[in-house]
Amino acid sequence: MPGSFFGIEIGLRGLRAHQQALDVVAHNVANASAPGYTRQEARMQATQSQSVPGQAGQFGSGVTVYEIQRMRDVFLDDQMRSEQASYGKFNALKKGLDEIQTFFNEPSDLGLGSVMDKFWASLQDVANNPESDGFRRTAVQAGEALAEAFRHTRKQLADLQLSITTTVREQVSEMNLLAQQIAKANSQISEIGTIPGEQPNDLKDKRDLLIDRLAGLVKINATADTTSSVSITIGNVMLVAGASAKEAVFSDAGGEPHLLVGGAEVITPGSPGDLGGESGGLLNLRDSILPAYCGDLDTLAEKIVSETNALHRAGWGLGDAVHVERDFFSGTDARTISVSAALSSDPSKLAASRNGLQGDGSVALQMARVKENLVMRGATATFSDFLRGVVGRLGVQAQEAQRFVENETLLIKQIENHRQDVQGVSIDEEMSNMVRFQHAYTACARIITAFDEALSTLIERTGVVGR
Amino acid sequence: MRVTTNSLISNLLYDLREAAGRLETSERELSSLKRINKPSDDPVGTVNALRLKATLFDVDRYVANIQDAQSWLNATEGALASLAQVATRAMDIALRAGSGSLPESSRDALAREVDQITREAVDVANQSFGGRSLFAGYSTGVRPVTTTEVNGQVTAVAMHDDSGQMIRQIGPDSTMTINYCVTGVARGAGSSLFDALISLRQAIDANDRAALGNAVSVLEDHHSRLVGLETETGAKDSRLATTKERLDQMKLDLIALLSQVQDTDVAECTVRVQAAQNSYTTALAVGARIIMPTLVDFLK
Repeated sequence: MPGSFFGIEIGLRGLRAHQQALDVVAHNVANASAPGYTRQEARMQATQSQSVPGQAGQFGSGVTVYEIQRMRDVFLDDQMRSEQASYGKFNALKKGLDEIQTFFNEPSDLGLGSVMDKFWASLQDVANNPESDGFRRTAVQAGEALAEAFRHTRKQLADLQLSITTTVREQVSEMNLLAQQIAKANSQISEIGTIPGEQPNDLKDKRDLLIDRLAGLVKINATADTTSSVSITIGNVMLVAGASAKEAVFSDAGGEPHLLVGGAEVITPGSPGDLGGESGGLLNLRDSILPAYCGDLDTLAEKIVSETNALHRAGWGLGDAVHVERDFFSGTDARTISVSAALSSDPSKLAASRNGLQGDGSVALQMARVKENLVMRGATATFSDFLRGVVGRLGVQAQEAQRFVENETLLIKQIENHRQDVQGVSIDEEMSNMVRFQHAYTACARIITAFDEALSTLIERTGVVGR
Repeated sequence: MRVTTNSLISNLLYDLREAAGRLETSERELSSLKRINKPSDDPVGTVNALRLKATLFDVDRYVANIQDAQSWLNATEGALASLAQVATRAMDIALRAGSGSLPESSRDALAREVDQITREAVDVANQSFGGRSLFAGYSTGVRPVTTTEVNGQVTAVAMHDDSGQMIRQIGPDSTMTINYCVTGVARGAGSSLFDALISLRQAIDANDRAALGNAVSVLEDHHSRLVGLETETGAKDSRLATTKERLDQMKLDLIALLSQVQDTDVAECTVRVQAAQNSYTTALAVGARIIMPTLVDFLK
């Protein structure tokens, strides 16, 4: 027989275990809406039973909570992080492309296409009335409006590129902050983890939340190692290993974007645009999508300038005694295009005529009809065709990004549901557990009372014969 | 599968967001009456819409050019008609002057009349429209016909030879010349209408029967040429009228096409907005129900 008071000890162990279990239930319920919280379960196990010589069987000795298990599925975490990176990338692309769409402002009467049409129409007016000062001034104004529309849109694209660089730098700072915090969490968890029986569950939750946030910024690989630390790599460069975090630095040395982590270049298949996550998406936007549209605008502007000027130089201005070659536009691309100073100060110098006669508007008519010429894309498209092609491509890219974002949102939602399946707190479940543990607690208390009564019989009532 | 409070809420939120998103899209479509508000709404439709708009803009341009051309042609036609009339009257006078014997005073009067007609013809040839000479080609600031006078009578006429063509674009590939040069109208120096009139006056003054007879046939020649030009102007005008009609019809068709591509079908969209509103309110109502009760409510 293990001892007189052993029954009470069993009851006590039961009380302790179930009280702990109730504590865990309370913790779960309290944290039910905390983001990133993983529910915990108290794992109970019978304590070591004892054998008594001469007696059959083993004596059970009660219960103990041997582990508070954190119900987490690491595989789902990996999936979620990967999809977060994709979502971040496509969301950044979508937002950027939406902004570019507002810059181009098509289809509307205020877009570049309409401004171009109005410019050529004003030249037709000059062709019909070459002597008129009013129509000439209008044509010069329309030319200035066209130049300004080009410059403005081009500047907006360039400004977006600059602001992306700033945003990426900020994101890299955030990456560094997160990396440091993860490293610190790693060291704390390792320390506590060495103490047997201790499970730093809430610290692990905090670390997982940090890693999730990091995964949205850039594509990472998180692997757990034997010391219950999580090491993080970007591409094939280690960012966090155990308790130490390297510093990530972003630079545009040599005109190319570089992400250096602890001095080592992050090498991912392809270009830094494959960084994934928001940063990857933003860099893709800055370095391949925006330059394409800037290039298109520049090409269009440059062609309009050169074609118009070629015709204009052959013409005579109003009141020219001899032929003077003048340009209509000055500038070489969408950043620099403007109406030449000679014309804006004196619209009568608009070369409308072929030979100096005031009623001749044939050169103006040629300049107006340049819109019909196939001068773009290797002589297969007009200026307007070209612009429409650019707008169409923009629409397709934006639509595609939109679809990817919608897909990723759905995927993430599904994965999150699976995660919640595993790690989420169900109030109903906790309530029924609570009832269960409550009853068990009460029962254990009862057991103690029973043993107490039994012992009191033994203590108080034995050996009083003859008193 | 465990259904946790969080997953219930997040599903509800996701569905509410989707319903609200659909509602917002439908409402925006209805209030702007445009199906396409940015290129990503319908990339192919956007390109089509832009192309149609550009064509519409061009059509308006051609119609404006046609109207400009028509007014110029009308003025020209009027001037040519006046010149033809001048030739007719001159022929009359020539016949009268050549018939039988007229007293000198009558002949003088006729000569004076011819001189007046000559000046009238010069005035018509120098006519301008909107501040620009009708018959001076590109030299629209110049009066194409100048006269030399001796003793109050016109003795010689000089014409400014400028055959510049005023061209108006009336279609994507078609243009029209809308003016005549004075040398085309009155014919070249030495044998122009003015020269014929001056010769007539001189013939009347000299009572030269042979010259008078010659003058009639020369004037007849000028007359039929002028009538021919007048007819040609009329034909150009009617070609412009037909083109304009065609362009007006084309414009209506283009507007209808453009509307098909980019405008909202109001009836359909209103129904969609209604449906979206309904689904949103239903989602809200259902959501409120499913998230409330837990076991807590039922335990003592």
